[in-house]
Amino acid sequence: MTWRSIGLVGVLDESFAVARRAAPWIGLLWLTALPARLLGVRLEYAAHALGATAADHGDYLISLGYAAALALPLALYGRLVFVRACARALRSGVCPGLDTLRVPPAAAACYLYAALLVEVLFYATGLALVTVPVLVVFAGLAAATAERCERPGLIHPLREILRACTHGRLLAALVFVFATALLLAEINFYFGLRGALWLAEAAGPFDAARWEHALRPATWWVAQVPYPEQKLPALLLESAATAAVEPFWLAALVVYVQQLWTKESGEDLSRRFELLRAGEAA
Amino acid sequence: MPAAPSRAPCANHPDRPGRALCMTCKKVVCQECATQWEGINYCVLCLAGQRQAVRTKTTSLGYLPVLGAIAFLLWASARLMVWVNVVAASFS
Repeated sequence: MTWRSIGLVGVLDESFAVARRAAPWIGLLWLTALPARLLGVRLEYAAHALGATAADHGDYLISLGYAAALALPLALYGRLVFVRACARALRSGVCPGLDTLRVPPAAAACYLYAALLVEVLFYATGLALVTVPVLVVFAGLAAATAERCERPGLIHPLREILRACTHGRLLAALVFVFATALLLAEINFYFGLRGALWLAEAAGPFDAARWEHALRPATWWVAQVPYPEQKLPALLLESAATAAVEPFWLAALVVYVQQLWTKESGEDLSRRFELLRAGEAA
Repeated sequence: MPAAPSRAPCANHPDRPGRALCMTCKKVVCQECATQWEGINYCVLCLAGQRQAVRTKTTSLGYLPVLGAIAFLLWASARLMVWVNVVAASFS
């Protein structure tokens, strides 16, 4: 990491390089998140299919809810390992080894606690939508700051998250950039699927009617938006787009947090002096 | 001028130039004497003090409140997940 002030372009540039270096760990992130994602989609689809009668099928939905909640710790472990891999890749400049899997127990416990608290707040206030961007940032920062938790505690992980929120405008800009990326990823996936369907139809005998129905675009006012009208394909598309964007989002937060700590520790000034001395010598 | 701190010698090795500032005792130290812990520079003595403080505080009992909170939050997230989806489904 070279000396520079914390800025949006710098964070995005560095995060792309970090995500590329930690690329093998993206597979672990996806694999561990898959059960929680699919069970979440299953629950949402089941509730949507039941509609107004969903409240009458409480036991069934609660069993799905418990299954989805029990899959969360695995997903959060994968997330924490990926974030550790990003932090190590940032410091060393190479892809980190298998010892990245050995997460310190205190950091894991603190992260699990903080991430689940954010998850609960997300569901408790999610219908209001206003809190969603803030809680998405908190969830990412919980992972990025977890390595600072050297002992278990209920306050320390939350304090670290709040301490990392000092650059509010930069975090808001990151949320905007990645929300746009999420939208673009969804549109690309949708047109990719439609393209694959068109190719399959052209290649030979293929019953495309069912797939055409599943991928039929939603109608909003008079325009057809590039998004499936059917609930299940729409939910799966959202999950796929989130999985595609998530590694870069986490890498960006890791870079941001590491740059913040570097500034706090005075290490950035030390690097700056080295650069100045090198300039004077030359 | 930003180059000023580099002129101060290391507090432990006067023949070496200072490269970092211990954030606890504010002594200037050389590259070899400075260690980063939790992203913050410390000299050897202050680092030992910090580590000792952590060791004495951490016991397995310290995990109990966190594990209890995790169990409660898992239960609460399952319930809230269902509640939000049921409410959203009834509106759609």
